[in-house]
Amino acid sequence: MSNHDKELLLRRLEREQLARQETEDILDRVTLKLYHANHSLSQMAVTDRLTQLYNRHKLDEVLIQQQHLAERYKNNFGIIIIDIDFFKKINDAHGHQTGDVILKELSNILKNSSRKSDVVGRWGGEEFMIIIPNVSEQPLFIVAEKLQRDIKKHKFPQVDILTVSMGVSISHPGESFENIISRADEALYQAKENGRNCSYALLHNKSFNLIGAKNAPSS
Amino acid sequence: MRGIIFRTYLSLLTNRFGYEVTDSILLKRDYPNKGGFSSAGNYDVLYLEWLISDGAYLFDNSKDKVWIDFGEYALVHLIKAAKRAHASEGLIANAVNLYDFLENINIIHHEELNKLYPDAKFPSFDIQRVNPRRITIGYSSDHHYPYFVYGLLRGCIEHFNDSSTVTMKRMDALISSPDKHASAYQFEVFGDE
Repeated sequence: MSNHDKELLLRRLEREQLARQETEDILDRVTLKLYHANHSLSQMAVTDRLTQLYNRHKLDEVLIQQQHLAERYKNNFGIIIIDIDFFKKINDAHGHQTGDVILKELSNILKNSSRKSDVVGRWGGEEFMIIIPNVSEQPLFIVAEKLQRDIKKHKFPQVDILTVSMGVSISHPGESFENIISRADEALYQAKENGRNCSYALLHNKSFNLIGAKNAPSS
Repeated sequence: MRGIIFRTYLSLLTNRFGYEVTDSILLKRDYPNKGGFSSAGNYDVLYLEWLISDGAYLFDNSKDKVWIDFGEYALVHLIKAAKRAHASEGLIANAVNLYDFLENINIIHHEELNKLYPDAKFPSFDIQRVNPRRITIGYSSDHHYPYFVYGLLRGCIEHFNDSSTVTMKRMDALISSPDKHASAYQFEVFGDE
């Protein structure tokens, strides 16, 4: 091979190498961009847009996962459903924008008052759910009481008074999460029926336990 | 402009005239990566104009002829690349005749390319199927490459092994761009029914 041919070949190789390097750099940048886009999409898929809490879809996933973990490790997980009292009246009196601001503020309280291991989400409308992994009854009630207290303490500038009702339940071995939700729902119903602004727990043996209520009977 | 266009043009030069000729053209100017264009890259269109201009001596000193030959070559090259990438699906794999293929060019441009390159400026094609064997294509672009489109259309005819003819005429009335360099042409592809 002549020197001329060698030089030609070297220049060709250098160009191809530079082009390849540029392709790899572009690929790295695109991959990173794609990674961020995917991450952002995954977050969007599980996040409630208004409150930035987990959405119903994510809560369903966590409930299934907690049911499996509870079965595997023979422990319990708790559920608290929180419902804003007379939320429709707030919307009617102050408008939906004010309603949205309240939902966001309450979401912040729920988030800040929960432990990092708890999963806080918007269950729908003015209802929220907190899933508390690996918990027994008394600590679960303490969490609920603390939430009730923190919400009472908070001043919502948009409305004079804002109260919530809560339904609490805890899992039992072999029980489906749908059952546990049903009990929490029923407990919430009891709280509403008994004057609102209070928390009820409906346990597996069907007895009602009052938490922080002022005028509701316990059975 | 997309790097694949640069690479395709250099591949035309190399295949037809040898790498020594390509090398001599690349050495004439200061190109990014010393002329090592990446298919995935994006480069100033000025570089392509330099390459075309410096290659014109190989095509009877006619830049228009460079563009036409480049268009013909690019069509075949791009179809091969597209078939490699999408072996069994998509417009190219599914196209069975020249006219159906041309009629659907806008699908590629307006949907697929815009998704891939949201910042890029693509030419627009106003396609009218006059009859099964006659199609008119209005082309307007901020870049002035009608001879490249003409070459692409000739490449299409060749690819489908069709005996049709393509004609081109300037249509300034079609220009909607405020860019004074923008141009509009109408192409007509027709054949015996």
